[in-house]
Amino acid sequence: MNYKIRDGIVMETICGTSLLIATLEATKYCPYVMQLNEASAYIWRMLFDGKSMEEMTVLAARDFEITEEEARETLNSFLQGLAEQNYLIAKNEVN
Amino acid sequence: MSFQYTLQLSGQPVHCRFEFARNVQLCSKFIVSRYEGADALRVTAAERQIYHAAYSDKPWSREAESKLFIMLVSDALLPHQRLIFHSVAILWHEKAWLITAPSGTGKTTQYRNLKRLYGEEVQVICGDNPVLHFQEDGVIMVYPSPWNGKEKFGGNAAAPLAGIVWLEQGPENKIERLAPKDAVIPVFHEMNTFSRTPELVDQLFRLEEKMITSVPVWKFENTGTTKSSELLMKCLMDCDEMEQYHELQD
Repeated sequence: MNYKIRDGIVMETICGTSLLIATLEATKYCPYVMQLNEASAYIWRMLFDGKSMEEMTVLAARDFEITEEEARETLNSFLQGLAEQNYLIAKNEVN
Repeated sequence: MSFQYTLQLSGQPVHCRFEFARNVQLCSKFIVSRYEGADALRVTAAERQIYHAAYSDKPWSREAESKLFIMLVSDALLPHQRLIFHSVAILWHEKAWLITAPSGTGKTTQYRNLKRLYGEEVQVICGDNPVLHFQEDGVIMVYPSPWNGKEKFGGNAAAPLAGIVWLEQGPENKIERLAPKDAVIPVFHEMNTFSRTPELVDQLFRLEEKMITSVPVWKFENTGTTKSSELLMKCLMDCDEMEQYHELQD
């Protein structure tokens, strides 16, 4: 499954802490603020850069020194969680 | 019927259009002139909707308009390197110290205790929502605002920010300095904002970063007793002494 970031969601990083913030129309759908750990922020940046699921899997496996299968599983679970909270939209859905 | 005035907050003019005359009264100390323009800040249907979503049990009122105005004004001040921070701002040793926490945690109790213990040595700058001005020289100045909370503790002085105390109720009195990364969330939650655009959010975080990296932030678990306020004062004294020592070294 591929995902896109919902319009109005921004990630801010200060003093090593990354947060997702809902702005504009997104405030109607998502919690206002959510903290991301370092690994989650890394995945978010890849998503923001428009990487596909396959590209993210390869990069995550390389950078976290895990197998591609483990990377895929971690990515799926993380992205699905964000989609459930409406920060992400599955690509076949309408924003 | 509405009332339009220009307020002067931390030296920055803000044009406001109030629906309730009592809110004009509340701001009277800060009004510098009437305002005729069409661009005055006002609570729109969108903000009212946000209010009703959060407080579905409360009717639209003078208090509701006032609450929303704090956020509107804070967002309007952001491009001018200012924001309104939910806290009691006290003046001690010519410096401002912010006691922050969600409503009902005991900010005012700490201020009352400090006042009882240290008398005239402790003054109030603003009892609930001071304006912070992030100056170009790196100093963060703390100013009064019309929004002093229900106790209406307000002063006239402004002073440079020296520290932030984040309160938490607890079974014992314990104070510890937070690393900036641990201060991000608690400080962020007390910033008054609608954060409606990515640009505003970005400006807000840049100011927060300056705030939590330029002055100490403490987490103060406390019982709300005078004993707890003595501990708080000891912490402020240590910080003040340390700063004076550094000033002498420079």
